Amino acid sequence: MLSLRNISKSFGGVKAVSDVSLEIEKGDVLGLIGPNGAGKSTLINLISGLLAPDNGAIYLSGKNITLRKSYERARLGLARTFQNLRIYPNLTVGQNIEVAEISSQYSERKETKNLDEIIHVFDLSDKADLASDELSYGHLRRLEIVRALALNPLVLLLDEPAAGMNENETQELSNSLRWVQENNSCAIIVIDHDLKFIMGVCDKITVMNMGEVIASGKPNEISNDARVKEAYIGH
Amino acid sequence: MRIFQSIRSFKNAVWGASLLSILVAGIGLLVIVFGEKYHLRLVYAAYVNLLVVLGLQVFMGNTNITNLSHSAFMGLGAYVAAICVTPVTIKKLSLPDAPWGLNTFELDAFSSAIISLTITGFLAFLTGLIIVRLSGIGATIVTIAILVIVHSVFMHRTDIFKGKQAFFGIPQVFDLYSIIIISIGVIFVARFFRESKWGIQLRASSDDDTSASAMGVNIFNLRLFAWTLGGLILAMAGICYAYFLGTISARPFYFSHVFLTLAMLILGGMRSITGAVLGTIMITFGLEWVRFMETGPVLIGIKFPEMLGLSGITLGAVIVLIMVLRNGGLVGNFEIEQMFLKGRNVPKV
Repeated sequence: MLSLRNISKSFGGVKAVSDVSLEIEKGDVLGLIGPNGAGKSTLINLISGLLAPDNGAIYLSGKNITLRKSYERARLGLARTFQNLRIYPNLTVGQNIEVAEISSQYSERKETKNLDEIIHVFDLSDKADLASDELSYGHLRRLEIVRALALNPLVLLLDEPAAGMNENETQELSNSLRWVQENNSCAIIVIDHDLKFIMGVCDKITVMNMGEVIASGKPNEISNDARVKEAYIGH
Repeated sequence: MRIFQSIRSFKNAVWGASLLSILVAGIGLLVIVFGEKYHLRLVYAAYVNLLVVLGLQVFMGNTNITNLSHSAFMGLGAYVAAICVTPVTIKKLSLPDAPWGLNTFELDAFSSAIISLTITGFLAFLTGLIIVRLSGIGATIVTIAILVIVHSVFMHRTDIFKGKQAFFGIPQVFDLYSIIIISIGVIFVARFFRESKWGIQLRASSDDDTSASAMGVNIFNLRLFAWTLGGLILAMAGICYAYFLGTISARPFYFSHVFLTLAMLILGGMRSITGAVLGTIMITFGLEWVRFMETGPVLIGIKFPEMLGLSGITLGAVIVLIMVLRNGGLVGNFEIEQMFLKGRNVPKV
């Protein structure tokens, strides 16, 4: 479904992402972990089109999208959230979701959408008419995810969705994401520093360090990998 | 193709535009019934300014990019219509050296208006191709450049525009009734655009263009559409101006008018159509009072001194105070129907 082939990106002399290749298929939930500065968010920005790679190619459903603009990729089925919340403060909660829902109408995908159900699962049903600044932090995080899902995506990119959430909120988010995995046909890539959350939600995990992929596998394999322990866990 | 994403948006647009139309038409009808001839001219000018403010709101209010070229597009609309509609006998006299046979034909008022809208709309589209590639201060500086270029052409191509001299002999086509009807039409257009699918996406991009782009919003196309639509409304304002006054000159389409109408939009609140209408009404009435004070009147037995230039100072002060104290304007995101319809809350600015 989404395929990254030898993607590299440098800022000045610093290699933020170096020769990264990834494959993710329909229904997969892939965790992307690594220490700060490992290149995870840069990789998400490269996939979503906010940054252009220096080398390599990105394919979505067999289509080369490397040169496509950010809004075109969104319409083709790449939806994302942001590490720092990027809600539209002058729109209501419902209108925030409508922004993406409108874009989904330009898509060629004609799958039935269950947006009302998604809004319900993420506990935003009774909040559509609220001003977005009336939502709690946890609900703002959920709103970003619902907004991304309103695009009816093929791949959902979540950049630290549990950041700043307490344990209960994180657990609820895990349950909601599990529901999305079971009820939507999209693949999900999640970045987070909360390993318990990542291990609980993801089927596969890719570990990055210094811009490179150093390990990839199932959660239990990753937690026993010596390179991962050295770079990230084992301290 | 659906214009609105939800029934709620459509309902709000219809209710809001209808209520504002009643307010705007009510004021006009009161003046027609009770006002003197002087008041009719004053209120007609206020309606022209309302059209300009609405034209300004369509782009500025939905994109959050400051536009200072609006009076230039109004001027273009006025001159193109005037050149087309003015009788040949008068043009031979006033524009003896006009190029391209401009003084050899005359058209009816409707055709002239259509030509004016087409030419001004096309120029808005062309300039829009530059503006929408920029953002923030860069875009605003380009709009100032457009204003200065258009004004220079008006002033120095005297064979077409007569520069500082009056372009006279334009038939008086419109009266107060005509502009009330046009204003209502434009209120509906502006409000429908704001609540439309494109309006919502454009407002999202004004809050956060990176996030909007990642949500599939084609910001370039939407901004270009809003800029061109705004240009057409401004051209309509110019046509109304020329079709009532009968005489136009280049001077009114410059900085002082830019600031007057900008103050109206900023005072009311540029994100809302209600704000645009409210700001226009408040500044119009407020300035009349200030102009009265400028003359040094005697009030309650006290002789006030002459205060020439007070209106300019007042407009400047209004812009400064609103920017400092309430930079979303008096109403922010509020629209008039929210006083009557239950539901949607108003995001604070």
